[in-house]
Amino acid sequence: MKKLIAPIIFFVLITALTLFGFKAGFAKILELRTTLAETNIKENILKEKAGVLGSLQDSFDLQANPAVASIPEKNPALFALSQLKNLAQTKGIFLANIKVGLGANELTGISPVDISFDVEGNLSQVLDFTGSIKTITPLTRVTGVEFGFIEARVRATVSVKTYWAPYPIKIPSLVDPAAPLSADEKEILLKISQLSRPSFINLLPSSPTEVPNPFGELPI
Amino acid sequence: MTNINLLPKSLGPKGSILKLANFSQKAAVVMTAIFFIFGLFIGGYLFFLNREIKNSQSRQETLKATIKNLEQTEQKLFLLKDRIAKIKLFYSLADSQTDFQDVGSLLAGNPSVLATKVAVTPGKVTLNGMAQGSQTFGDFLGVLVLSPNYKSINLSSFSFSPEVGYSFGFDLTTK
Repeated sequence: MKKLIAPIIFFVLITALTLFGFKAGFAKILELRTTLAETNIKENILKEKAGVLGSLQDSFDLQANPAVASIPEKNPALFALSQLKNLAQTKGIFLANIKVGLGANELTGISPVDISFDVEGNLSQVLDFTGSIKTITPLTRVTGVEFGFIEARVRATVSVKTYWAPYPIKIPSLVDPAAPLSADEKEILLKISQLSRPSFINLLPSSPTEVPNPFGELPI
Repeated sequence: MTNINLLPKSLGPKGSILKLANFSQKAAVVMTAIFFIFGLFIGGYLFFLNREIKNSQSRQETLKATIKNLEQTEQKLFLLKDRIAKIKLFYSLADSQTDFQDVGSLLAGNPSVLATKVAVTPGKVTLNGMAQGSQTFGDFLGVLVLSPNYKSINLSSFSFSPEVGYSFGFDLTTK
């Protein structure tokens, strides 16, 4: 009887062990395969991102400036006024009665600044001037023109809006994908790189000079 | 040593039971073989998957270090994309410049009409002016009607005085 029961018990035990072992083994295989698939996706994202960033590393500084000058981080009223005055000068007209104010938000993401001014000149000069406003940065658009003729000259009140937007506070996480610039974005960059940018003069501090007589006149 | 069974045959196990015992023994051997073969296969595959995951994770760490070194470039790319999105928003807004150019060209082509007050806003032009004679006004109106730039032309005011001639006001909706 012992000889009969022993193989049956062994068979039952080994069958149970096989079934349990296979079930656990296959579950673990499925789990690891899912983990591997996720890990591979992450790895591919990182690989792509490293490739994109690596290829852009050298070409960036040139491109970032016109975009930042187009929609600056802070209120660009002074830059816009300087650009408008320079533009008016090149067209042989003069800006007067300049008014600046914060505009009402038309769009989320960019804040407007309203600027209005009077110009006087012949019609072609004024048309040329307002037509050239789109060629300056910070990006400025003509929102209204009121004008009338006084003899052969035009006196116009031009309203323009220029825009600014603070920099994003949150940068994407390390594992987020980074797409290269699309053709559309490159086209915009090319377009704005042709616009005139405000010029800045850096005033360097003067070096210290020796004062032989502290009670005398300062050397110039 | 020879096994001698001294028990009478009637007390021994029946033939069917012996067959079952024999079958159980064989089945247990087969099952053990299956257990070891598939166990080995599953164990090997698990080891392979674990190694692949570890390798991928180590490659990820290397890539993360590379990306960390390129953090400034990433920030610039992100900033640039943000600015470009804002520039797109800017270009989606309507501009009065084209309307101003159109009405300016219209007036420049009709010097006998004197525009006294013109207001141009996106999509709308209010034009007030004077014309010395009915012929001049008629010609100007003809040009205005034939202009492809205006969706609707509304004559908002019209008067005549012998001193200044015809005074008129138009509300124009641009296309």
